[in-house]
Amino acid sequence: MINVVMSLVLCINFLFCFESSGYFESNIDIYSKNNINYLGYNKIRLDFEKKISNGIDFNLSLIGKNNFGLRYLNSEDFLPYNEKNNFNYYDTLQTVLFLIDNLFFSYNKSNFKILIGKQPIYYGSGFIWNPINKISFKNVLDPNYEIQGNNAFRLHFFAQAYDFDLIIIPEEKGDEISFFTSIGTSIYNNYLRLHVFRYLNKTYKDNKLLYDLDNYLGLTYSGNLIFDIGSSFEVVKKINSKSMEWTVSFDYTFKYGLNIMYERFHQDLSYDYNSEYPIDLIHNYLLGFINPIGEDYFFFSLNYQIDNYNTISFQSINNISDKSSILIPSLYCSLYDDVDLSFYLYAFNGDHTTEFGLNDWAFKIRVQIYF
Amino acid sequence: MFIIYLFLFSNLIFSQSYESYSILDSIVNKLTPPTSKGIITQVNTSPVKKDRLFKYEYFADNIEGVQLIRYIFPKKVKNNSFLIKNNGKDIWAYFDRTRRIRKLGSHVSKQGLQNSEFTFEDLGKNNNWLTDYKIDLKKEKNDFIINLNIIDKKKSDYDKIIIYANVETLYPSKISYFKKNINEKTLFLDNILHNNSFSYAQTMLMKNNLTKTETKMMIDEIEFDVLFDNDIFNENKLQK
Repeated sequence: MINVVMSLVLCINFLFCFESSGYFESNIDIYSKNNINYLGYNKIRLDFEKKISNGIDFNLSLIGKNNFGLRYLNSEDFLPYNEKNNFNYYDTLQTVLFLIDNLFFSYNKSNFKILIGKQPIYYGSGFIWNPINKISFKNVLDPNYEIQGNNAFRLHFFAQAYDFDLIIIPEEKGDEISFFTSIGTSIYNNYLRLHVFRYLNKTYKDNKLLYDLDNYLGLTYSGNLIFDIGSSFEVVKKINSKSMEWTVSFDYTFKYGLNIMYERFHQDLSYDYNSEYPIDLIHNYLLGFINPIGEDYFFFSLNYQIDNYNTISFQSINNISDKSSILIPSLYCSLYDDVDLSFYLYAFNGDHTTEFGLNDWAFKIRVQIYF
Repeated sequence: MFIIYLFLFSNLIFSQSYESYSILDSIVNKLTPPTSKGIITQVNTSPVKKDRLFKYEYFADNIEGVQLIRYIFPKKVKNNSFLIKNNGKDIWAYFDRTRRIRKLGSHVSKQGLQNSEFTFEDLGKNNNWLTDYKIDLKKEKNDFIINLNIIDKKKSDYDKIIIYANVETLYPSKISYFKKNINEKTLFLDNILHNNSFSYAQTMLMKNNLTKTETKMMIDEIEFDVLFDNDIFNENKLQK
């Protein structure tokens, strides 16, 4: 008993020497398929930061989550329907879950920054889709939400006119690494970045897991091309292959607060959608080897800030390949300085063999309290 | 004789316009010293809603035309940053929760900082006052009253600006911004303090005369003549 108390005291003492912040989030989703279901979670995120010495920082992020409501999902709940679907995959959402999201050291010295450990890695200029980023995928329905950290070594070098970025990721295959390099510069308020990388592509085919080490060349841009319209693009090409992925987006905010955004995305997956997605493609989508499942998409959004506290928005995500779409009207309310409340309605359009036709409609309520 | 009069007259006109220009130049430099850093409290007030309070660290290199704003309070936006380059025309945003760095379109420069009445452009050095406006200077008691009238309407949002600056310190106490001859916003600069050769208003109040909303910026800490690291104003270093 004394040991438990001592450990607890030491643990609390350890955590209190850090600068801490975080949030509590409660989320409920209600959706209609054949009948009405609900599922949700309560989540707490704790971020700790400690300056160890001049230039060295330690970061730790912990997540605790408890799921409630529907917790047993079969493949048809989250994958497009396919008649040949014989794997009857189902997923169980754990009641209680704890995980270390980030655990990394950063070292800042003059023009260098080095990060080692499990860290958040974001890059790319697209709002929803970042074909240049093979490391972390955004949630199409919630692109602003945090993404889980990756184990990586990252080195950033900053010079007067350019910066250089190197990311090394040890692959789960054990004997391979993926590495990503890029160099960026600003030209007349326009930002350009050239990417060269080697990535271990994983493919599930004929009940086998295949690995291919592929080389890529990419370019990202963000700036204002004409009439002060915010514009960005990403293009990435697999070397020695015809495969190409790209994103282009435009946005503009009018003086009275209305923001309008359009984004178009394309990837080559070498298939034709013909009343249903091929089963191999569904497998690869399920395993997270491809994201998203369609070849062509566009996104459109209108946001209007009513006042300092309330924003209404209307978003539409369209899968051009299977002709399915979602309309998402939403309301975001900032109740207090550190308390947000948001409501989302999802109207799905498409049949059950399409990506966005899985459900008829859905409704989400989310509360976030920051501390 | 006519030539002598013409010479004297043109000389008088030239010296007056030169004086106006140099006074305005001094005012612009007083408002935006070469380098500074500080902590600022921002309060947004609306007639129908409760006040909103923000606190941020502010770093400015007005020689290079760059400013960095890093939020301290509230916790929801803590460590979120805005890097403002080219006097507000080039804005980068960093969102700490998602660790994402994003370039904002230049149209955002006309928007308020965290819904305030201060736009990103207002925070930069107003060099365009010297180039884009016709300057008309008057002296009344202890103040210079400088009327700025836009030469090319496409170049700025405001078609007229009136600056009231103290004759001795050349530090403004009030700046009125006009759009289509309507006094849309007025900036009041109060509690003016002098620190060596630098002057600064500890309280700046921007009132929107149309919506009746206002934003107060209070300087909690300030330091001038700061030597910054080379890369503090680098967009890729926004992530802490």
